[in-house]
Amino acid sequence: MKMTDTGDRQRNTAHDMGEAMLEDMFAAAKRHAPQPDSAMMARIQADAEAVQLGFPAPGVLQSAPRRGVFEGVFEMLGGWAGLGGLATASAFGLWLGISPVMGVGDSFGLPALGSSAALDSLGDDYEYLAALGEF
Amino acid sequence: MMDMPLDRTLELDDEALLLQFARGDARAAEVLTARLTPVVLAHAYRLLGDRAEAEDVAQESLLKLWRIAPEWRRGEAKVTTWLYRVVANAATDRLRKRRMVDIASVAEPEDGAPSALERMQERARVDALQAALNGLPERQRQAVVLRHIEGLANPEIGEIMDVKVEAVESLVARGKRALKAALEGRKEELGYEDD
Repeated sequence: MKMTDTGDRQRNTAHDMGEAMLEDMFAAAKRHAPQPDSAMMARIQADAEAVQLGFPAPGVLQSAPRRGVFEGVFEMLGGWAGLGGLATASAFGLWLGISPVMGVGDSFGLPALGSSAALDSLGDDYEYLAALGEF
Repeated sequence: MMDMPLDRTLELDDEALLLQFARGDARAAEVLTARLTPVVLAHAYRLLGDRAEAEDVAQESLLKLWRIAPEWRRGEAKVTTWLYRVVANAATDRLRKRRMVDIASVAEPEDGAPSALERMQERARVDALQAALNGLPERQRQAVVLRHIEGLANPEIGEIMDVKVEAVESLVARGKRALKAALEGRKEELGYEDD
């Protein structure tokens, strides 16, 4: 429709005009960016130097890094030496867990395995021993 | 006097310079100051519309950069992206405080001292744009400034503003619409004639 076409055209022209004006103004803003003066540059340079003085010199160890939970527990156990001792103790405990059966087997003349097979082999003696509260 | 050796420091990018700075290189501090101060000041001014406050924000933001330098992780972000973000946060804080003190005290951009007519008109346009920017909601202003004056791409703006690209596009579009509306009545005064 003619009226709509005219309206659209006017709107488009206004839009283009607004767009062109804005683009021009953005460009002007880029050209006229505020510049720091020498006093400001000096202040910022001084800040940078002051902060830099506080940095550790290259090669100097920095402050101790933060430790994680694992590191704390590890240290509590006495480090690697402590961990070695713990491993030895664990292995010994495991051995103890197995070996008593053999020992008991020897003292009661039982088979070496502390299993149901060993209990079965007790036969009547089991009831006797149970009555004594041994089993 | 001996010949000056070729200054390779000038060729380093911002991140490499920052890492040099963290290792105590005084020249890196100089080059970074010279390179970044104008960028940070201009951005702070465009967000705040006030020179003195912009200088304070620029100095604070760079101080944060100097302090964080030893912990800077290579490749995580561009130094300027990080700075635009810090400047925007500081500017937002200032604008909030300013609003609490006196809403009418929003600074108009100061006049320069132009001599020629053209320079006067150019200055008038820059000031008019800044005044219109000052009237935008903060996020729209930030997006428009980053896109159309700092010239950044939308993905980087999204990173700075912590929003998706679609949100950046929307903020920029709304901001520009509002700017056009605000400047519409000043077209003639600013020398923009309808054909």
